[in-house]
This record gives sequence, C-alpha cells and structure tokens, in this order.
Amino acid sequence: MTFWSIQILNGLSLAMLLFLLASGLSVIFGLMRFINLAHGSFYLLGAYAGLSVIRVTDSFWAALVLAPLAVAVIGVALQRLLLHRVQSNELAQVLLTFGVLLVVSDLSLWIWGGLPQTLSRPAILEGSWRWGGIVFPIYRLALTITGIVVAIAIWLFLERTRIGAIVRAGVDDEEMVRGIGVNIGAVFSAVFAVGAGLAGLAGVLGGAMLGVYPGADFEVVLQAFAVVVIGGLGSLRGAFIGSLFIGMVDTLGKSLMPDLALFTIFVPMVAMLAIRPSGLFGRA
Amino acid sequence: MRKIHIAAGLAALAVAGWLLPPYYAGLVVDGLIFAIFALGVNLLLGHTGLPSLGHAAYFGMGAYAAGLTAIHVSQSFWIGAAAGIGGALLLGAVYGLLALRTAGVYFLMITLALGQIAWAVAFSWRRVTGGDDGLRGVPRPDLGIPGLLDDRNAYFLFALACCIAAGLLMAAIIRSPFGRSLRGIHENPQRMEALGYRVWLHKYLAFVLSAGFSGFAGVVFVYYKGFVSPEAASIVISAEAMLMVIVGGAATTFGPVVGAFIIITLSHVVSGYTDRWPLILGLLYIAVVLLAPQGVVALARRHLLRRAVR
Amino acid sequence: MTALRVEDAVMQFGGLRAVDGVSLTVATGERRVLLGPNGAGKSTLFAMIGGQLKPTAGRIALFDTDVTRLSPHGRARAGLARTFQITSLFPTLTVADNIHLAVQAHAPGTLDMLRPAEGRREVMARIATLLADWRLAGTRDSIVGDLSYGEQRKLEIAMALAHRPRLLLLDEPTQGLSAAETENVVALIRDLPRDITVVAIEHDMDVAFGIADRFTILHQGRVLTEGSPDEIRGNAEIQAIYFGEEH
Repeated sequence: MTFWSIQILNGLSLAMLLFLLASGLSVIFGLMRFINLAHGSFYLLGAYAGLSVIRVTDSFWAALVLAPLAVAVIGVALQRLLLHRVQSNELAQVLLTFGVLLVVSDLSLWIWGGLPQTLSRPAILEGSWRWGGIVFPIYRLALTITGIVVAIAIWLFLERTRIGAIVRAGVDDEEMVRGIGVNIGAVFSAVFAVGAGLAGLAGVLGGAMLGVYPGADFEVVLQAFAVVVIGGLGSLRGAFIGSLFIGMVDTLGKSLMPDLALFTIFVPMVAMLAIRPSGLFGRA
Repeated sequence: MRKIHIAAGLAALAVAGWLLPPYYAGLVVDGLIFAIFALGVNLLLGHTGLPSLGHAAYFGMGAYAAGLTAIHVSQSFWIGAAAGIGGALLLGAVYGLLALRTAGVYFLMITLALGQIAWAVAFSWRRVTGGDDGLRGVPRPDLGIPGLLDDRNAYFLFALACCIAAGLLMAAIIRSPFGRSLRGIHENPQRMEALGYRVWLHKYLAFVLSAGFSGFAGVVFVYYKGFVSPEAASIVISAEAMLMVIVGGAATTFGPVVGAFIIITLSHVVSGYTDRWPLILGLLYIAVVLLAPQGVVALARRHLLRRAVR
Repeated sequence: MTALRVEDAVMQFGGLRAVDGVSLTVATGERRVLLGPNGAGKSTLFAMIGGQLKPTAGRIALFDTDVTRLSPHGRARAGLARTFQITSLFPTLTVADNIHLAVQAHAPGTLDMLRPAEGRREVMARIATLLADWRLAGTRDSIVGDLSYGEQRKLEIAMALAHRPRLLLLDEPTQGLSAAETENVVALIRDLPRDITVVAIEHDMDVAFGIADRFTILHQGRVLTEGSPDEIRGNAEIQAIYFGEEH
C-alpha cells in the first residue's frame, strides 16, 4: 500500500510539473503552429535563475515569482527577435530552436557549472504528512495542488476571458482571427510569454524537487513532447490527461521496470503517432 | 566540372591525405564519415522533402552491428559492412512503415521518438551493447592483410574509397528515374499520384536507402574509432547531420559532403581553442537557418554574382 | 463498354453533402461536359472519380472495372488522367522535366535506381514528340513557374495526355485563359482521337457547347438533368438556375 501511494503521489507531482510545461507547448503549437525544441531551455533557465535568486535573497518565494518572470521576458524577446522569422517552415523551426537549445544549454553550463544542484525549499514545505499509515511528502503534495490550481486558472482564462476566446479561436482558425482585425502578433507574443513563464515556473518547482543539471532541458522537452503528442496538439484538456498519463507511466516504469524505463515514454509516443497522430483530444 | 578534373582532384586528395600528419588525417576521416552520413540524410531530406529527426538511429545501428560482428564473428570488412548496412536497412524498413503513416510535424516527431527508442536500446542493453560505457575494442578490418589499416593515414585512404563509393552510388540514384521521381514527390505529391506513381512506395524506398547510407557511415565510423557509444544514436548527431545537409545545400548532390567537411573542420578547430563548441554550434544553427537556408555554396555563389554584376 | 460509371455517389463533409447521390454514365469516346453553378459539387465529383477523395457512399467504375477503393495512381494505371482546377505542376522544374515525369510514370523501370533517367531512349523520344506536338519545344528549358498561366494550363493538359489515357478529366481547362489561348485549347480538345473519352467541367458556355456531345447539369450536389446540346439550349429551367449567375 505504501509503495503504491508513494508511486501515485510521485506520478501525480511529475504529471503536474509536465503539465506546466506541456500546456504552454501545446497552446503555442495549436495557436502558432510552432514547434519549439527550446521549451526545455525555459525550464532549465527557470531552475537556474531560481537558484541564483535564492542565493541572493535566500527566499524560495522570491525565486518562485522572479524566475518565471525573467524566463517569460527572455521567451518573448526570443520570439520577437528570432522565432517569428521562421513562422511557416517546420524544418527551420526545428533547426532554429535546436540551436537555441544548444546555446542556452552551454551558457548555463558556463555560468552555473556542471554539477547537479538543488534549489533549497522553505521549511514550511519540508517534511511529510502522515495520514492513515501513509507518508506524503509535503512538497510533492503542494506541487500537485499547485498544478491543479494552475490548470483551473488556465482553463478559466481560456474559457471565460475575451483574450482566452481569441486564443481559442486562433487555435481553431488563425486566418479568421486575423480577418477580424485582432492584432494576432501581440496575441502570439503574449501566449509565448505565458508558455515560457509556466515552463520557468516548472523549472523552479522541479528544481527544488528533482534538482537541476546539464541535460535536464533535453530530458524535460522530450517528456513534454510526449505529453503533447498523446494529449493532442493544441488541446489544454489533452495536455492535462497526457501529463497524467506520462507522469504515471514514467514513474511506475522507472520503479517497476528500471531496465525499460527509457522506453516508457517513447513507445506510447510512437504508438499514438502511428495510430492517431492528432492525439487523444487534438485537432487533426 | 569534367569527370577528369574530379578524378584528378580526388587523386590529389588521396596523395595529400597520405602525407598529412595523423591529426589532420583524422580530421579528414571524420569528415568523410559524416559526408557519407549526410549524403544519406539528404536523400530523404533534400530530395524527397522528408525531414527525419532520428537518423542517427541507423548510423548507430550500422556502428554497433559492424562493431559486434568485428569483435565476435570476423574481422573481414565485407562481413562487418554487410552486418552494419544490413542492420541499418532492416531498422529503416521497420521504422519506415511506422513513420510514413504520418506527415509534416508528426513525421518529425515520430522519427524523433523512434530515434530515441534506438538510443534507449543502445543504452539499456548492457549485455550486448555495453550500455553507456559503449562497445570497446573493435578491431580495424583486415582487408586480407592483417594490420593494413592500423595506420591512420592508411585508414584515411580506405575511408576515402568508401566515401567515393557512396558518392558515386548516390549520384547514380539521383540521376536515375527513381531519383527524378523523388524530386517530383517533393514538389507536388498529388500530381505525382495522379500521374500514376506509387508515391508511398517511393518514399518508403527512399527512407530505407537513406537508412542504409547512414548505416554504412556508422560502419566506417566504428572501424575507425574502435569504439561506439549510445551517443552515436542520439538526437544531437541526427540534428548535426541535418545541419550539414542544410549548410552544404539540400537537394544538391554533393552539398552534404561540403557541409559535413565544414562542420567537422569547424568543430575540430573551435574545440582546439575553447570548450564552448556547443555554444558556437548552436549559434551556427541559428545563423544558417536565418542567413543561408539554401546552403553556404548557394550563398557564396549569389554573393559572387552580385559582385560580378557591379 | 462504358468509360465511366458513377453510381449513387455521395460525399459528406461533416454536415455538408457536397455530392448527394449522383449517378452518371459516360460512353467510350464521348465528350461529356459537366455544368452547374459554383458549389454544385462538380469539382468534388471529379475528386471522387480521380481518387483524391474517397466517397462516403456509392461506386465508381472505369471501363467496367470497379475502382471505388483504388488509389489515384491505381486509376492512372487503369487509364485515367486529369487536370486540376488550380494548375498542378512542378513549378521549380523545367518544362522538359515536367513532361519527363509525366512520360516516365508509365514507362517500364520507374523504380530503376542505377541507370541515368536520360538514358532511356523511348522516354526521351516521347518527350521530344510531346514537346513538338504541343508546341512547347521553344520553352522546354524554361522554369514552369516563370511561364504564363495559359502556357502552364496547356502544359498540364499535355502532361495528362502523356501516357495515352483512355479517360481524360479536365477541370475548367480554359479558366483564366485569353480568347486566343482558349481557342487553342478548344481546338486541341476537338482534335483528340475518339479512343480517348473526355469529361470536362466548364463555365465558359462557348467552350462547353464547342466540345460537348452531351451535358450533365449538376445543382446542389445532384444531377438536375442531362441532355444533348440542343436539349440543354432550349431548357428554360436550367437557364434560370444556371445562367442567372454570370461569371
């Protein structure tokens, strides 16, 4: 019982982390038809920026606010300066964002060094909570709750606000939205900023749980892509369900079949693409 | 360029390579290996218009299959190469069936995932592949004479011969009716279907052939280094091969060779001065995409033309 | 033998029935013209006959062979050729290369990977013949994207005929052409041998009456009526529906 409770909580917390990443990636793809291999770089930058903020201010909460903001700013700058130039060419997007991934990865290595590091958590989130004979680490619980709260917030934003409606319409039919006279460029940048910021937030939260190290950007972007493929590009609901799926499968896989752990993400990804490329909830 | 000029050029290259200090011979060998790999990637990417993010899987397969054969079965080049190329062709045949069910961005992603599966196999199957320690102790092939290729300059000539063979084969394929059809499929697959071409079959054959060339590059690679690790099947290698194709000029016949040499030379030179090669490489990706998407040769030609007009 | 038989063809896109139970039969050697206002389902029907779309229901037969499940390339092998409403060529290649691809499709050895494409004498001869017959020899090395619209459309018809099809589908062959070019195309179609069956979609009445043996009028996805040119000319109902919308 203990084993399963630990696995489920671990799976859920990983899922929420992935959701923060994948939701941005999915909406960015759905709206802008843009494949961003550097999305993991936002995660990495968020974690490292968070690390630096904590070093300077000794406050996890400051990091939680400042790091995602910084990443969002970097993300928008990147989008407006570089990424919008390859808007319509998938191969160019892949190569360009891969280049960004390499640049950020190497700069991070240079600035923060190659040793794995962990962001220190505030005391209030340390420790565990006992309930019915089962032990739940408080941090993971908090992370899970945070993820659900963010999911609801994004959903409310998309469904209940005017800008959200524009974003949803844009995912459905970009031409039409341009036709109505909406400044689609501004909407793109805003969505990109939010996506990057969420990834940065994931970086801080994940960095305090799993640590940050060179290569985390790459690992995390592959998982995020798996989520988006399975859930469906452009679908928030898909990103949520996909995150749950990958989070659970990855966690259970690593503990039950460590030798096959690496396959638990890619085999479902291939299967989904071969059978139903638009994913569970995506638009074709 | 007339054939005799090319032949003379190659002869000069062979002589030069024989006389080069071993460090430079090694650099050129790296270039030749990746030239073969890039040629393979270009068949699918430049000519057929299918960008695959997982081509290192076939490179790795060729390397591991040939390496394992050399260690456990025979030091004959022909047997090792057959195993390496055969393995890559087989992997391509299976992967192609899955990948060609998709198109566009989904094709990119499924090839990425398939490539990662190959990498994962190399990483996890410790008993066979040595896991992340890699496969060590792969002997040089004996071409009938043991120790013939132990010398780096001698291996250079061998690699040159392999690259020339691959280049000639690729040139033949591109000039053939099949090659022409690929060009047509790249531009207008609907028109090709309506004209009566079995478009899927053409794409599939291009996919498998491309895997075979990549596998051959892996064979030449593993015999040279004596070693292969899962990194050889990683996305970093796949992306670098794509970059080589773009830099040299996709959809040209020998652009990939030029691109491979440019990237390999840069990587050797830059790594000699700084640890920041990945940073430079990343900037290179960005620069090429934004400034020279048709390749540096095309860029240079346009530049020279503009100068000539003034 | 009938060249083309369509039985109760239906094409449903979500809530829209673009083609709603169309049946028609075209005899071998016939020149059939499909008329109808925009949105009547003509191009959709063509896509179903050509194989670009799979029918929601119904059957399609070419020369008495059921091809409903057959891919476009299979139908090409069965003797079908077509042009598209939006000219579909290879814009970055030369005229000669475009024709080459058309001719090569049905020559033996398409999958030959080793011998040069230019070494096939029968193929090269046929390309030269086509270039001469269609008066394209002067532009053989021009990039297709640089040609005039009229030349491109002419090239597309030439390519469709490259493999001596038995059934030719022409989707608005004279659309966008000047008066002189239109006359050329009409003459070309008139001169086609009678062992080729032609089915064309046309909006230009002069062209339509100039080539048709028989008309099929489509309206809102259904066959409104069929008839000879005289029957159609005198039909008041059609005049009201169709000629009411001028181009």
